[in-house]
Amino acid sequence: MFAMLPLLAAVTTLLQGPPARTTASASRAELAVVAGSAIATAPRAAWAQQDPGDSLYRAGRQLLNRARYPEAARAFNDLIKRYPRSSYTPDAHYWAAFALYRTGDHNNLVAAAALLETQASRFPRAATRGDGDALLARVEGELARQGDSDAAQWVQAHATAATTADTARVAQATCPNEDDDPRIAAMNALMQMDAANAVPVIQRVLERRDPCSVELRRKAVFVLSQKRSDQTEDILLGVARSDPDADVRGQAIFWLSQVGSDKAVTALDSILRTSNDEELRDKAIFALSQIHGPRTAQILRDYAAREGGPEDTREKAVFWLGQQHGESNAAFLRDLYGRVSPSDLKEKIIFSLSQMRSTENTRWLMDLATNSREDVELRKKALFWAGQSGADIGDLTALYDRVSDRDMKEQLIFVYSQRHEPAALDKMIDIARHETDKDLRKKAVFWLGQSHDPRAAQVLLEIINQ
Amino acid sequence: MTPERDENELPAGLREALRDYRQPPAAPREEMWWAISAARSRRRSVRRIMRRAYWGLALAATLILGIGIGRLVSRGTRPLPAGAGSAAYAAASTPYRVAAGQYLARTEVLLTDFSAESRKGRLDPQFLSAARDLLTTTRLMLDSPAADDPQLKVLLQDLELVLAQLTQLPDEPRQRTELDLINQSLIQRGVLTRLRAVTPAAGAATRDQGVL
Repeated sequence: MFAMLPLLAAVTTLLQGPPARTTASASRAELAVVAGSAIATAPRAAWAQQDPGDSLYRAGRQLLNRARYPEAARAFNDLIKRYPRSSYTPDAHYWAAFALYRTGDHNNLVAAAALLETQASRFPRAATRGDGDALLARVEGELARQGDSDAAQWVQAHATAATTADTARVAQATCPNEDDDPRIAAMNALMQMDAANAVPVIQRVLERRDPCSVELRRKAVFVLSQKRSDQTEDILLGVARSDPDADVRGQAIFWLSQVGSDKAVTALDSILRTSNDEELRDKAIFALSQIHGPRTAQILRDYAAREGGPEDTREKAVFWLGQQHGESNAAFLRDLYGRVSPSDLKEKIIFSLSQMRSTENTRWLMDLATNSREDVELRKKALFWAGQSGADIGDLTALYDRVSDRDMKEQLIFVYSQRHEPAALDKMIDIARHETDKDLRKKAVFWLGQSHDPRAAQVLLEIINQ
Repeated sequence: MTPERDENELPAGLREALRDYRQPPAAPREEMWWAISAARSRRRSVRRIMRRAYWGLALAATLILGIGIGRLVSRGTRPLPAGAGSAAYAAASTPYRVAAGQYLARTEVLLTDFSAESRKGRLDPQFLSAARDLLTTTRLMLDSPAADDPQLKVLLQDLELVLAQLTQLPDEPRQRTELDLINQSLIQRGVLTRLRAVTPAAGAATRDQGVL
């Protein structure tokens, strides 16, 4: 019994914070063995009908939920030590490691790695094994970032493993996600640690064509987009053009937005013009919208104006032009409105102009709202967005008596209700009291009822008592 | 002995007093109808406008996700570093904001689904596969510029914990215990509430971008 105390103490020390890894007397393998031995040889707890580890396990999980990570790690460690035969013990390894990983402390990360390795060797069928390797990859990645050379070596080796297809999986045509998780984590860790080394590895992953690597390639595109390198653009362009999976291609197109070179713009323009896939076109539009410059703006404008082009994609081009907030784009959109016929496209132009918020755009929206030759639904739309984009309340209230269309009057009442100036409330009160059209009066009364202004309540009371 | 007989046996004065005792006031039917009709009408009006604006608003919502993230400051469960705010996130490039918006929308759907599914006591394998994919994505997001915003980072960390629990459900008889623990985790950290606070109302638009 006494002989075991040093082992238990070693695990406890390990979990509570051993000396720095580089100076510790025990290597990582030794620490894992120490942890495993301690668990294997600890005295058995009395085996009750109810699992004796239940309370500690629940306590540990509660502490995890409260982000009290060191205490959670201690609770799981207690469970491991006191109830080595508990059905909770295999998973307690994972959760102790998870809690230690969350602290970010170097020594705790070393302990977390040791726990996960112990779990892998002693409890390979634990429910939490599914994520054990992925968590280990994160832990190793964090250690590598903190300068641990063993961890760096581990990360490099595991990331490289992602570049080759698992022949057994390919033969069986089974692609369980969990097998990819540690590889993705290692690939990501390598990218965070040493981008120059990671890019060639990711490139090889992206060159894979086996069906089981689709998920891996999808994530690899995202990891690659994190850090700019000389090869990033060419790799992304290659994927965008030739990956057999449309989803992977789409992601490469999306993240080309981060590159922004002339070559990328040319490729995106080509995809936009030639692709029959709406999603790919949308992503190309998005990527182009994120690369600011006269050339990309012109491509978007040309596409928005392209007669006979897919309407949905043209609408997206209009939206992203609106997000760029330039006066030249605003002028283009105002002009485009008169040249296009689909009402949905016109609606998007109205919306985009309202988002660009300028006096000129608001005036244009107001003019459109009062243009009786326009479709009433589009006029109402223009009125709403003019109201939302800060049109002068005096202009809006004056408009009520100038328009004769009942729909427009109703819309105006709604626009007033969405404004907070006293003049808007005054106008609604005036309509509620003096409008001859009963339905419009009711509308005004309704919106007054929604107001929190005491004047509105007073007016409603007067109307009730009439 | 019936209550009627009891009442009949009481003196007349007391019977009268009893009739008035705790008599509910007349229901304010007019007012109630007014309120209901007002609420319905308001919803209809707003819905009509919103339906027409849906597409653009949804995309715009993705872009202003940073504002939603900022709201977490007042609801967060942990102190934040001084001077930290959603500015960093708002300043992050639009692709990362779009990617984060899309990811958060997917996670919200999954966790909402979980709340319903867990009551049945068993989770569909497809559900677990989706949770695993989201766990991997969460970890990639944690290491990406999207997590430069401290509020989003805290939310991502909470989501990592919840998803890690979800993906590793043991078989019976411990599954019920685990489901309870996960539900507790969701409630204690206010994960769904915080997630919904930052997720653009219309996830469909962000799904269009499909980036992670």
